Amino acid sequence: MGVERIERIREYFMNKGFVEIDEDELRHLEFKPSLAFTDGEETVFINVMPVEALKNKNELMRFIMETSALRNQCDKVYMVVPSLFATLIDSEILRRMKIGLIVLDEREIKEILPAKKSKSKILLDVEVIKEIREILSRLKVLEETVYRIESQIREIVRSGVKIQEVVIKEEVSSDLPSYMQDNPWIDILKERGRDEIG
Amino acid sequence: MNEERYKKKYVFGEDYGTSYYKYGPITLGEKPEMVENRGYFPDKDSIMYRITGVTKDVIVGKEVPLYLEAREDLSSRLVYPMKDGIIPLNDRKAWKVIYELTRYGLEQFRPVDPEFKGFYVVAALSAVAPKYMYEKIFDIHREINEEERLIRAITIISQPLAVAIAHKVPTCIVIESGHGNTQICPISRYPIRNAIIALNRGGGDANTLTSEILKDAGYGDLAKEEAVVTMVKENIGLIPRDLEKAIREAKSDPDRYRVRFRIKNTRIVIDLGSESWTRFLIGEYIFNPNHEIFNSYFKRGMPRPSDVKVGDVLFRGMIDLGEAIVESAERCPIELQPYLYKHILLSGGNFQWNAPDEFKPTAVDSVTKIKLLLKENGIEDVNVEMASEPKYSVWRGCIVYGYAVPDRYEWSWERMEGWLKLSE
Repeated sequence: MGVERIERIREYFMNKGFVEIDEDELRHLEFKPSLAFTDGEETVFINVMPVEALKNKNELMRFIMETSALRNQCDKVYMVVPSLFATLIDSEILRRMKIGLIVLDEREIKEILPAKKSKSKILLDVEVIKEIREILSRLKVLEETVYRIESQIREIVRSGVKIQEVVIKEEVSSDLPSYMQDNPWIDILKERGRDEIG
Repeated sequence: MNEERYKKKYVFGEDYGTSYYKYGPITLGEKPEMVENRGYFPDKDSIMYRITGVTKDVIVGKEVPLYLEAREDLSSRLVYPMKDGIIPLNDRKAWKVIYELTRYGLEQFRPVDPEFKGFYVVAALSAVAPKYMYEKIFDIHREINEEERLIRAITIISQPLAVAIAHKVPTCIVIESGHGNTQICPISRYPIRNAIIALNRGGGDANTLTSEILKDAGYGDLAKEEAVVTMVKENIGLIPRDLEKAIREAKSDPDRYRVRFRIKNTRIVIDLGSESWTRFLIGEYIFNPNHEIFNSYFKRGMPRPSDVKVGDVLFRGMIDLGEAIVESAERCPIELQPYLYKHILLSGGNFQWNAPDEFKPTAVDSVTKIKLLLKENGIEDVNVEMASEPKYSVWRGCIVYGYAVPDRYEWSWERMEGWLKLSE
């Protein structure tokens, strides 16, 4: 994949107001595009045909299949091919697949067929991924804590120590009015209904 | 927010007194807000009503004086809903006033805190309030809460219980004496309901006697004015240690006991002259109206305090206060009685009597008089005290009650206790 071609495509989309999505944010995807952009609302994946695909049928097949697979991972997909190769492509097939076509030669970049938005796709939501990671790490901590408590209980049961209920008397704090401080009624009234509540 | 922290902010006390409604949340600290327990029903056809643009049927709170019109029918439009702590079941106007007052109080303290889920409201009613009053108070709060989510739960307690709580005494006898009646309520962690004794006698009866004394002294015109009579009673009335001895002494030394009283900001001076010994009758009458000397007043037409039944409660007329306290205590278990006598709490305006040093020991205060009456009934080891700040003690008791009683303790009509939940 020519670095120079990639740079030109990047510049082309950036000039149209798109912001490039960091490669790190695409790590979870099974198939990765050559470039990924967003305009704040939609994500656009660009797959640039590698030079090898011009020489090897299998490479060409892989490029086409991967480009097609990208449709489920973003809003719009573009295929970028050299102008020489463009004459061999039936644009009707791409239109039906909702894949856009960009043709590139040494002088210019032309958007021959605009991409259309795919209906079904796997959401690319970096925040969701972060939250899932956070939940997983907390879950791990909880599992470790439960395991530790279970072992401590087993230890207590083995040692035969009896568990006693310790009643901690609630003190009325001094920021309450004078008639509430040291008032024996507070303890009496707090017991109301205790028999039936259990 | 846990229950205790929540309640430190959102317990709300409501004391429905006959003269004043005292209300407010725990955050007010030592003293509640106070407004007169009354409501004004404006005449909707009047020009004033149209000019001021009032849309309410009844006006309550501190604004009432602003709306009063100089009208002959003022007395029928200005409604004092309670008489001796009781509201008749079907008195629609009176209940409307209570509704508006309750709403007025709660709305005044509506919090803006997003964690606010409604107040824990503790309302206090007279110990002799019938069950229907409890139901009406619950209904009123339910209705308010349907319009404005201000109440999480409500409970109702008796005023004597609230007094005992505010004074930090779990076992005691609370005696509440107001204008119209006197209630004796033994408490041992709970109010002992079947031992409550109510007397159909209060400050109003002392007014009636004062009025007769004024008539006899030649002040018949003044005797008709209730406010003047009350003022005279409070300024000249004395409680005798022993009525017969006090009368003998006052008659033998008339100059010492002679009373000349000027009504404030007027030129009117009341001079009882040689009849000044009668000032001892006023105080005695509150505690014991059975002395034969009062017969001369009854014979001349002064109404004798009679036994009356209000709801299920019999209000006794002539029983002396010492005897009533003993009878009330003796309805409680024998083992408990000595503990009850250890703390007798006097609450209410009718116990606020002066005992000037110059007339001691012939004149005494309410605390001493109660001790003497109990001694006559064979009870000596007693401790009687006046409730401190009686105006606020019921509200304070409500606040402590609301703070301490657990949220999960639900209202029961059998126990007459617990929280009635209005919203979760």
